[in-house]
Amino acid sequence: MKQQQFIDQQRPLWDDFRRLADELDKPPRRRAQAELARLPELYRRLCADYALARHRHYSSGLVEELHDLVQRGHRLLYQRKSIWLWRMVAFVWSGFPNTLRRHSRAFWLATALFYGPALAMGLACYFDGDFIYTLLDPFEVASMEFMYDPANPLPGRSEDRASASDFAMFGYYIWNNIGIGFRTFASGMLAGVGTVFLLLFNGVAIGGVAGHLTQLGFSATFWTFVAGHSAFELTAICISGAAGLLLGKAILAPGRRSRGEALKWAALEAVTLVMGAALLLLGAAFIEAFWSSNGAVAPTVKYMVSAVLWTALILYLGFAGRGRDAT
Amino acid sequence: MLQLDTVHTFETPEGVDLSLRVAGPLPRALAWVLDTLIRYTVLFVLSMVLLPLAELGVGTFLIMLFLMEWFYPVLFEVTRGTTPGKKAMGLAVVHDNGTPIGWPASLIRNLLRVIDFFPVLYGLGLLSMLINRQSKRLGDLAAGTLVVYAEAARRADTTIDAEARTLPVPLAVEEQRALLDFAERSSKLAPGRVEELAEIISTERGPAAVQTVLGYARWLGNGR
Amino acid sequence: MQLDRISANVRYRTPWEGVDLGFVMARQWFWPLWRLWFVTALPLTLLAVVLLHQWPWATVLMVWWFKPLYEPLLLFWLSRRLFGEELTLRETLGQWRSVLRPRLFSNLTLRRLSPSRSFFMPVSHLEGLRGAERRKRLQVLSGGQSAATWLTVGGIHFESVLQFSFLLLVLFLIPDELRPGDWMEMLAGEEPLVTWLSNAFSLLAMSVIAPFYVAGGFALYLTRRSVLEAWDLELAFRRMAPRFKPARTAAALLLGCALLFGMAWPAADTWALDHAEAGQVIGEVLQHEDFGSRQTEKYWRYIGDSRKEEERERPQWDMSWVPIVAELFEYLLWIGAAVLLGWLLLYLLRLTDWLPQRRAARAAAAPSVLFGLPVTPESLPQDVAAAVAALLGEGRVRPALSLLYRATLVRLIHDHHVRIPDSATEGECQRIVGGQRPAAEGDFFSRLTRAWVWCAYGHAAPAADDIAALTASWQALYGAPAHE
Repeated sequence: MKQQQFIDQQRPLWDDFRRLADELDKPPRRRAQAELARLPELYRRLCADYALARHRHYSSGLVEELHDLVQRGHRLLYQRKSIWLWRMVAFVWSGFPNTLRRHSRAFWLATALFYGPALAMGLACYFDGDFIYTLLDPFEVASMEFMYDPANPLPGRSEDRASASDFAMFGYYIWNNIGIGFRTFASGMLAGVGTVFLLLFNGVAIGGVAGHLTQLGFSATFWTFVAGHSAFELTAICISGAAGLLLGKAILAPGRRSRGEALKWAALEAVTLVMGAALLLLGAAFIEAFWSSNGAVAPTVKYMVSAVLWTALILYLGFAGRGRDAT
Repeated sequence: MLQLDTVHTFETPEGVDLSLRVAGPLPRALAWVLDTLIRYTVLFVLSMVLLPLAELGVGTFLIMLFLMEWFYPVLFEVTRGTTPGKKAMGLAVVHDNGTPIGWPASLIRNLLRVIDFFPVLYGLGLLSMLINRQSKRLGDLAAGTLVVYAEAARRADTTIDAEARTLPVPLAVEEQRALLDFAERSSKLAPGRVEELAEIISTERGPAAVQTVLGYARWLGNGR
Repeated sequence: MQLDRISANVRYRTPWEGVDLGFVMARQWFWPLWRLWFVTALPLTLLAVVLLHQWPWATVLMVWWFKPLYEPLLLFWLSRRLFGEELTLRETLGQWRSVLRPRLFSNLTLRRLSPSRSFFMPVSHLEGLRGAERRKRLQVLSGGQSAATWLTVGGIHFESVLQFSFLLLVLFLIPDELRPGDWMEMLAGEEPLVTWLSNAFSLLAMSVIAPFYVAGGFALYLTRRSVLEAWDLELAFRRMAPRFKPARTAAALLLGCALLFGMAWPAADTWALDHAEAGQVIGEVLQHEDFGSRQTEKYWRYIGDSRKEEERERPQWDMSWVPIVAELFEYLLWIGAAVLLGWLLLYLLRLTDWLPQRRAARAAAAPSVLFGLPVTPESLPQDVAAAVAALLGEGRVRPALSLLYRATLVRLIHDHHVRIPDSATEGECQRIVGGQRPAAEGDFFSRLTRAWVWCAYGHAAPAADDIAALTASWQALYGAPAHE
């Protein structure tokens, strides 16, 4: 068939398709619903036309026009639009804990990399009052001691942030802590080395501070302050670490897949973990800003709440969504 | 012979080959600069409005800072398929198979910006884009995404104003296509240039040569 | 050099895509181009080091300034490679005199800072135009696009990014104990080691970017010619010309660059004739009125602040409401947290089956179509078993099996509240049913599924006896509408 005959014959179809695609680009409320069901059918015929035009080597202008139409159809047909609220719920209820349990080995490895050095450094600083200076410089130590000094009316706030309100601190914790979680994950792209380094580094720093302050006898302020948000925050850092380790493993030991494929698969799993960790860190920021900093609550209550949160978190991560297909 | 090109071809489930025109480091870098300018302008305005509000303002500002730092590209990519900066450069982000980008892929490629940024100003990302055949940075590799040109090319304009002429010699399909392209593009070229082109394959000179070649094209396109 | 061996797809593109094509070319031929760059750059670097070693910054400046000296060789090599001719290092250097000469002096002095260097180079070097002719030609080719300038701006930035990335990477890797201070201080300081390291990395970065820069400009030039002059069509036409005009076969296929670029460099033995012709062609094109151009330039100019002094003073706001709103915010967050906590608790309770399941909600979500089969109770006949038997009697095995399968799904979904997502496949259905229903039903369903799948997709109809057996089982299991 000659090109012009082909165009004359098929042009109405293409125009139909274009009109329909325009319709679909409009916001849902203003669409003419009835016709939309024709899209897949039109698209299939359009694909055939495009294949024909290419096969017969019609002019590049025509082929390109059809190519663009097919591409538009491809995008319209294969886009995934679902109710995001529902997906959020499914993610929290089953997607996230299920994914975490699928990668429990990475999680336990990250946990070991984090708590191991924390414990070692903590004990070292507890038994040797000067050991903290191998980690931090004297200025940093002084600022930290000030924060948790029982004489400080606002425990957990450094000198320059003493005047900040709870809400300002909430913003700060979100920006800072979730950022740390994201970076821990992303550094996994450096063959896992970055993640391992950040886990070790954070473990050493947190363990060192805890050991040193306990040794100084600041337990009453320090431990009551961190007890509340510790469950969410520490676990979230370990989960971010697990996500980074997944990336690292895909790069170092892709197994039977090609390295690129392994990386894509691992990243998809890992991003679920990171988003879960981000939600946990959001919770931790809330608790840290509004609950941990509240000096009026008795220490016993704070420890009890902490125990409840730890239990709830373990139950949630260990059991939520069991028996459901991961989404 | 395989020719170098910037397109990435993939097959749709319908068995049709589609191609995407992959964007290289230069337009992408410019798009990033635009996005960064937009981001900092918005943050600057926010800081002017929010910071005077003391406590509440500082908290809100820090949350906005967090969102702008990590989620500005994600939100635009998922809802619009492209960020404002990319849109200005005519770019869009899609999956490797040409489908519009979704949440997981967009999150992956944007969280991994940290690594592409390493050690300074996208050093690793630039190196990766120079090496990779599809100009992917590390985030694109992990997310399975491509940055492509979004805007449509031209539309076929196939009315040929000449009398059909039989081809004197058999032509390969690629060559037939060159003749049809000539007919399509001749209206956009300088008339002198069109004559020159036509004279290459016609024994006649000037406008007569153009008529002859257009005639061939018409014969190919419309038949007698 | 042959026309039919062009190795890049030069076609109608936007300027940005033109630059991208150049990047693809540079990526493909990186190693030869990189080596070629060093051939001229390395001697000059050594010279610079010897002359200016007291001033490290001047060394790098000198190497940078002489870039127009290194680039023409790359362009020359590329223009030949484009037509499939891969010159060796020796062959390329054999031409160095004619390759480097055009406009070398002005490129190294007056025009060194021209932002479109890579784009202009093909015009002066490949087409060999000079003076007013060249200026006019450049105006035509660049008309209305700024990609060439951005390529230069981008190139400068890419170079610095690479240079500092290499440098920082090395500094990161030096252990703290061996570093004479903070790395920031080291970068800013005058430490000779760091300065020379920085210079070395600068050279490396320049060498990496140079192939991309030159190829980017070259491809942009080709693209512009395709758009404005249909260069790609000319290429195709020249390839077919011998068959249309047999008289001119002589040198037609061997002209390559010489004619297409109107090249100033010695190419094949056809040089004299083709160059003359090309010059004439280009002259004609340039004279055409369409190539006249008119430009509108827009720019910002400060015309002073039109507002009055007092208007610019910042208003004083009443801030007393802020703490109240902040408190309100906090309460809202607390309420949100409480709701979330309650929800979580409810979920944990449900997990342990302490709360009754909501059946109505499940039924409402039941799908009406599964793999193209309608599965609503309304779509079934009153007596399913009889209908199946009737169909079998007529010998319509496939519809009979289809009906039986649908009926089973309807019973499972609507009477037994088995939840099947509407995207499930037959195999997934089988797994779901097997997991949620008693063994007898699971067994029956898997036999039925197997028969149906074989019949529907494999076109292998099971024996009528088997279907009769299945119908009997069905009657036993679901004959009377069950209600749990």
